[in-house]
Amino acid sequence: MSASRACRTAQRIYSATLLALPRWLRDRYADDMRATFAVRCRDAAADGRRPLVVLLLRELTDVLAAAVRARRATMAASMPFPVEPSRRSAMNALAQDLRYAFRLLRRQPGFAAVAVVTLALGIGATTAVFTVVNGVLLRPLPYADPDRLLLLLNGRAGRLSTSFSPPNYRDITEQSGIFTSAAAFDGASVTLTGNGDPQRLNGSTVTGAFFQTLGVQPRYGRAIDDGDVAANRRVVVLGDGFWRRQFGARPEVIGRTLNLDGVPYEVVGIAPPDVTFPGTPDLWRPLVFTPQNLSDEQRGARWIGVVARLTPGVELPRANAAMAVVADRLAKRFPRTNEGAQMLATPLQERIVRDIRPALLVLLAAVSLVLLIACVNVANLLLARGGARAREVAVRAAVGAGRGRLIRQFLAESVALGVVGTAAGLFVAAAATRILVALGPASIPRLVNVSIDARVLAFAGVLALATSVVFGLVPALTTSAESFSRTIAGGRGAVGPSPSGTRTRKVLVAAEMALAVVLLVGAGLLIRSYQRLAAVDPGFASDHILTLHMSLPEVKYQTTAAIYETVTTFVHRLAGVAGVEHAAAVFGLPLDYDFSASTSFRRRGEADTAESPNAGMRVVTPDYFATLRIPLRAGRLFDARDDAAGAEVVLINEETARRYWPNQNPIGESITVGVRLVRGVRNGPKTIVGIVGDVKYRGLDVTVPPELYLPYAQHPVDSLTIAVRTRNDPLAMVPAARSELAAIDRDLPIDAVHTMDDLVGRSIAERRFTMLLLAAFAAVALALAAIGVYGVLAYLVTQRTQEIGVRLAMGASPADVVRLFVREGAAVSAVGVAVGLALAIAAARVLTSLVFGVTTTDPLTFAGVAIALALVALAASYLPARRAATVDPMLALRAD
Amino acid sequence: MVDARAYLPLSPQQFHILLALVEGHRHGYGIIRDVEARTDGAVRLGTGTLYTALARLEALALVDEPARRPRAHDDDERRKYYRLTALGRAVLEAETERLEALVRHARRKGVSASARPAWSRSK
Repeated sequence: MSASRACRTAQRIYSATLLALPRWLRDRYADDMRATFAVRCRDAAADGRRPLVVLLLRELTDVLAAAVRARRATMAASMPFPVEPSRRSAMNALAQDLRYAFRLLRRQPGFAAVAVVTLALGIGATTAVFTVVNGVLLRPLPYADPDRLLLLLNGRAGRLSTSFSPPNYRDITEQSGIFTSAAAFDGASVTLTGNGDPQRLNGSTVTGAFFQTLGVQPRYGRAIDDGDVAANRRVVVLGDGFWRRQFGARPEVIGRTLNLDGVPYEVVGIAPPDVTFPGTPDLWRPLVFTPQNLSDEQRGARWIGVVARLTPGVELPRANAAMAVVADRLAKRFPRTNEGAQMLATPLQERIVRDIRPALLVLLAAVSLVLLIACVNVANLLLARGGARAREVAVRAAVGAGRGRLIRQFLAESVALGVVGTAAGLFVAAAATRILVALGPASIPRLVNVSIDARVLAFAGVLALATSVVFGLVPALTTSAESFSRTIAGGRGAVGPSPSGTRTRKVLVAAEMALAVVLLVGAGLLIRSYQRLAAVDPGFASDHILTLHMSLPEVKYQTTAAIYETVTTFVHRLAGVAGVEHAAAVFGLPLDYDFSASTSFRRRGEADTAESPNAGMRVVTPDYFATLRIPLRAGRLFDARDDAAGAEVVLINEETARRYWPNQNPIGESITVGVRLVRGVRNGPKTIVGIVGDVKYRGLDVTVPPELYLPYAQHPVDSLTIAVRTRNDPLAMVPAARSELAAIDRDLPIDAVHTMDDLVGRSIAERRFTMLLLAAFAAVALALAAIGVYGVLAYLVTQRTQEIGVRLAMGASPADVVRLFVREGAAVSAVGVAVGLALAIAAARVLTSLVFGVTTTDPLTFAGVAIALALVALAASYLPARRAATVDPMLALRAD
Repeated sequence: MVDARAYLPLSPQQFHILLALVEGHRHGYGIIRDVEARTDGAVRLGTGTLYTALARLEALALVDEPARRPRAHDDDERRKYYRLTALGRAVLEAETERLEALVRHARRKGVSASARPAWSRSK
């Protein structure tokens, strides 16, 4: 953490602490106090981390102490000041209780440390997960009035997509009359040259109103505007990350020229740091539609996203109704492309976090359960101490402390623990948050901007109070009740533990077991899902494959012949490198989520309608199927015949055959595809020459849709992926690939270099992240529950030493004693596990969207968890039970 | 004129704050630094202590906020400046007098000044 960031965090914590001050004091001085603290913070931070922490801790205690003083004064007199110190008041008593509580804790450092560490871990983990939830789900997008920003969707019911065709975009935004502004965007990566090594940048093209629609002012310079688009100016706005990385955050870069895909662009602006839409672009360029793009024939070509700002006063349902009117009108005028096509809008924020929301909420729920279990453990600790303190409590009761007074004292102690635990927990949270952000898969949106803010601090504060009450109330009630009644009853039992305390502890441990079962079942289900997913046959062999992306700039490669020549030369040279088995080029690699080319097509003799068959579309060189080991099911693969001059051919996958030629042989049939991927190539009827195996192109958990394969020779696209099957480590092939490409054209960059195994791993990284976190939480829960069982059994053993002595003296064997206590532990655990399983059946339903290949009531998981917990509980009971068996009967009988 | 002695005794913190304002207006951080420098670091005011004390001093009209802010090169809009009122100065003088009298009594009884000053125990 940098000094300034540490400083900001310290200031946030300080700010939150000011809430402890009475309102009148805060209203008048809080700003001033913050300003003063900020300066002190800067001074301290200049000397390093330690002085800063010391300053923060000193200031926090000072402010809290001042708050207690000031509140006491406020309570004691109706006027803020002066004070009449001798008057007793509720606040006075509370302050006294707290002081006493802190003194007690200081005197029992062992107990205090265990309790505080348990709480700090629980609260820290919960706060860390909440920080992520807050940053990803709750914090509004960093744009003006973010609630009114919408992303538009279109398509038929159940197949809605965010991709629009330019004419549909124009009509819906202009004719619906409900948007103050709207813009189209498209992802378009570019190659930067002339600035060191050529590099691929994650770019985006946007229409003139884009930044205005988001309500974003550039940090330096200006945004892209309508003038740029109208005049087709070559201008570019840089993203914050790229600007820092490439230009060291120097504003002077404005006015400079960048060579993008061989074309000079002038840098006109730098975007603010948190603008990460669409995707996380390195730069934005103007999106200019040609008259051809906007013509009615192009209504079926859906390739741009649309973001719009809703007019104030218009609500979403009305907006959707207004869009439906326009969509109907378009459907009537252009039935071929628009029939049955709905158009609607969804809040931008909702759409961005849609995929990750269920997983994050499940994690938050899970970590809250861990915190609850931690609370139960601390409650057990307090109960144990309550037993030991019975004499003290009895004395206090005897000298006239009422039961209410005693409860207050106990609660003050738990609040003291809670406050210290939360303070320590905040440090845990800060560290844990950084770990979460570092480990979190890149696919989680906005994760990089996650940080601890006022809302997180408020959350931690509420946690502190809530947990204090949760773990403090039961012991307070139990201990005070016992001591109180037994003091009245008199007798020497007053100093020993009591039956009702034992019952309470057993109930707590059973509850703890039940919660642990719920967590373990959840983790178990996700682990099983992950195993199932990892075992899915993707339809190709992902081992020993290197993939790299390349793209040929239009300026230099103007003819399809030149593009085809360069790519095939590269592929052939790669195939000739020692250690390479096969090499191929593909447009539309498996698990490349940025790729989404699909087309409608006509079977022979059919007219083109809105109901025409639809399929994904990939373009490949002949060796592609050998490289990825995709099996041929019927007919033949592509070969040398299928060149630019040869007959037009196409391969289909099994799903296409099943769906569109049920019980027929599609080989020899011909189809006409609607979309032309490459300008100027033939697009006539194509003969189906073969059927290949289904491939999980869109993710291991997605059913395979129909797919078409076109031969690269007939559709030489200029942006594609090279796949190389190697004999050894695929990554060792990278230098060879680079030098082979440089030999052809040294200005061509390759990027997105991955192994296929890596891509498969990434495609399930989010699930892996959720699974690992949940498994970690479950492990902590299990450990805490085991400690709970151990604790209560150990307590029972000490409590019943005398009874054990008698049993042993009467001839019971040590094994009998062990059995006695293990049975006791087993009984408590059995109740806990049974209740937990019932709870888990209900709770696991929230996992519905996260499991794969198993049901949320998977019997194997439930049984496994029950057995595992039973074993752990037995082990945890056995240790204290064995100690019981070693009791010396004589000593035990003489004791007390 | 109100009798300044009605406000005595001052707490050591209040005394130090008033003392810090004798030479002119200061903001909160200025007071903290002045007290710290004057006592060689023996008295370090936390912001909580400082501002509750300032609140009391303001409530008693010993300190107020000047209408015009002094110009400083690192001026921060949020910062408030504080100055000693006439009453504040009178109370400070009365307290000094009281303390002097106490010290005189002690000296006369032969108590030496080896002990730590009272304020250093306040932290």
